[in-house]
Amino acid sequence: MKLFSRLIIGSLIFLILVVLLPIFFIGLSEFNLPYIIDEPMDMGRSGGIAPIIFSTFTITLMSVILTAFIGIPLALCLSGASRSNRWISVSLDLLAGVPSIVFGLFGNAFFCQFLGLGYSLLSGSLTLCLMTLPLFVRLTETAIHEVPKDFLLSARALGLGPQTWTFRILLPMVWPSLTIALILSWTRAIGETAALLLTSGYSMRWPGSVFESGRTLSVHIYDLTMNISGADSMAYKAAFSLMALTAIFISICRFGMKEFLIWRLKSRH
Amino acid sequence: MATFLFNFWLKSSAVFACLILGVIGAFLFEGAFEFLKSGPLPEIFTSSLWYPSENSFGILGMLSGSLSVVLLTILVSAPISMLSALSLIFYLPKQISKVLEFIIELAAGIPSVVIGLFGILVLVPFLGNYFPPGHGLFAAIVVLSLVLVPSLVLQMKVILIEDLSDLRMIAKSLGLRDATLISRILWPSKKSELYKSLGIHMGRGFGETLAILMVAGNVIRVPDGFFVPFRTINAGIALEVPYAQKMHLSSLFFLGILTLVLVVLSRLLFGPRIIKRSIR
Repeated sequence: MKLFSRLIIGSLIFLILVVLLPIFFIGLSEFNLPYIIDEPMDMGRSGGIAPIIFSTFTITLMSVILTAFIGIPLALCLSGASRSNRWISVSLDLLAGVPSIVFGLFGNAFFCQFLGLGYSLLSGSLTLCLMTLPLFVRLTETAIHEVPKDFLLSARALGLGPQTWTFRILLPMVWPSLTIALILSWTRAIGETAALLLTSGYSMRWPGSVFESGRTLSVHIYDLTMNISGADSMAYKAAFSLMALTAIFISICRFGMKEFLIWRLKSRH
Repeated sequence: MATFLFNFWLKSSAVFACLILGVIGAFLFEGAFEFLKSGPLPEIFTSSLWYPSENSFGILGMLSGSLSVVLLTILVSAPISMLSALSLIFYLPKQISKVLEFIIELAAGIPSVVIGLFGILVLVPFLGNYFPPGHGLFAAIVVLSLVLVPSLVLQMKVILIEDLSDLRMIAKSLGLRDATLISRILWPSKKSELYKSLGIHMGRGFGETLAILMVAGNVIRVPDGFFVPFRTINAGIALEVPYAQKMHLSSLFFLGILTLVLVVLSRLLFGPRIIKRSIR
């Protein structure tokens, strides 16, 4: 039993390394500055990925900002005792289970055609916002639950209104966890492909406005491997840049936030 | 005024959260309405002839593709992730298990399209040397396992390790071995939660699109071997929506509803019912 489980986990780790190492080595060996600042040429067979990185950031940042704008009040509703609590909770749980291709279909029908946004960065980011909402709300809700109940009672006793309590006390207190929740939703958004394929389209030019089509890095990887022959090393490079971006943000979230928290506590007192 | 705005913000997002599912469902059904109205329902499940331009919508090929990939993957990855989680907790020295857990966390964060990239650039050519063309069920199972197993291992580890230190001390003082602790105490008490996480991952498997699309080969047929090209429901949607028209598009919306049904079914299958049974 012992030996067998060790064998199993050993082969699992081996397989994971087989996936990761080629991307790391092939991607890193050809990685250079012009790749980041150039435009793609010859359908992506050569050149760089600058417009793609730009549209990636536009789509994911817009979706994360929207998620925060809708998600924070939802988390407040869920943590407070209100009657609509259960409905919101059930609805978010169901939303978390909806597969990304169905979100893509919905986004295509609703944002692209019904609202007339077409294949655009905006409809892509709106669709992504719906996808990341459940995760963000759950994380924020747990953060809010960790604030001691006494604080709310003291605030009430001092006669603070709900918005003063929220903006002056609660949100500053949960700010570090809120940032982590945002970054995690961002990493979820940046890895998403299927939904964006059907909502934000394939174009690899510089997007002129949010109403124009643009592709994210993950869509770029998909396109390079499936539709364009002879672009394998470019696909590895794009995958490497995607993983590097994700890794940078996750390491900020894991290691940087602690330092940030300590710095903030020191500057307060 | 500020209070009013604040309340409006809270209320409107609450209403938004409650309505959005309804809107999603309504738009999916509105899209599929034209297809459902033409009344093809019983026949399409028994035919695998998918020629939308000639009004023949047999989805048996894609449906059986989806079902076989996900069920086989769950069959393979459930024992693998269970044993991996157990060895992370029980059978490995602490330092090593920490390092391995970090690698598994890293793997859980890989976007699925990158695993698909590995599948098509490394795995499929490798398999193609021995079993040409290399595309097919086997490659899809490996790729989908790579997508599901890391997060399944992490989730199972979290479930198993909860309250474990007390149980372990009691078991040690009673003179039980690790194997007895696992099979007689841990497994019965954590069974329902483990099944539930399995159900969630099965739903994720039904929702997975591009990683499978990239290695499956995309020929519409019932997969009757491990190395024949086939297509899943989601791959059909992702490939055909960009150019589909009228009836064809409507049938794709029906496929979307079918995916949603599969996801919900897989969650219900492993969800509440099993919890009730274990209480009895």
